[in-house]
Amino acid sequence: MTRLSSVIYSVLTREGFAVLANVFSIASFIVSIFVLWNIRKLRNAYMLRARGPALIKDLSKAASNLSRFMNEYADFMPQVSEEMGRVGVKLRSLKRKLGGAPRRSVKRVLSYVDHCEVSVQNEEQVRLVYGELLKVIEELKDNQKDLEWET
Amino acid sequence: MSAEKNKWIDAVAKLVTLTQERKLIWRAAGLGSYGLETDYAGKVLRLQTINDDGNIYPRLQLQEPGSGQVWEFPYSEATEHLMEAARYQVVGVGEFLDELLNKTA
Repeated sequence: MTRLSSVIYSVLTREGFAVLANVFSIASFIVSIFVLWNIRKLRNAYMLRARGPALIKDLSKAASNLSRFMNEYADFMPQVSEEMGRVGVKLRSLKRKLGGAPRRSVKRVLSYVDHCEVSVQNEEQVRLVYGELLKVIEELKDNQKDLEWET
Repeated sequence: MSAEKNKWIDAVAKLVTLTQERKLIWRAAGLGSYGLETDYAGKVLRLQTINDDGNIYPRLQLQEPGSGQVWEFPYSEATEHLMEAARYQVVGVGEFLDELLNKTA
């Protein structure tokens, strides 16, 4: 009982109160960061649920077009280049909404797209981008299925 | 995504490349059939369009010619692209376009 009263007394002193206020201030800062982080995560999840399917569908269409153009690569280089540009825009949009492993995969493919120059000599590089794009599309589809269970 | 799934996508993407580079030559599997087939590394690769209760998708199978045993590749978008590339080759779309565009009126 005396111990409890001494604790209460020490808190009520000016120094004790200042320490307590500091502790609460730091704790509320941490909670604010946590809430902000969660809001951001929720917003991204909502954006991904709303826009994800359409963006993935666009990417699938772009991959399909790329595959068609690759039948006659030399004749369709301008179209391949245009399609690569479209793929870059869609991937950038998806990257902002993603987190974790899918985001890392999108970033990786995006770096391939950004470094790929469509030319006669670079057919292998374009094919590499196409292959990586196919893999990331499958990963994004899986991620979209997981989202349906999460929210 | 699992490395296993990646492997299948890589394999089918490689088949797409070989088809488009005319290193893999496809043929119609038979009269009245929409199937296509080719030989690779001593095995037969078969592509078919499957209609599963209105859900149409391509199926890629690997067959051992001696025993006739068949194994099916897991479905991915790459299989659709392979079907398109194989059809493009079998129908001769490239040659047709060359002839059409080079023909003087």
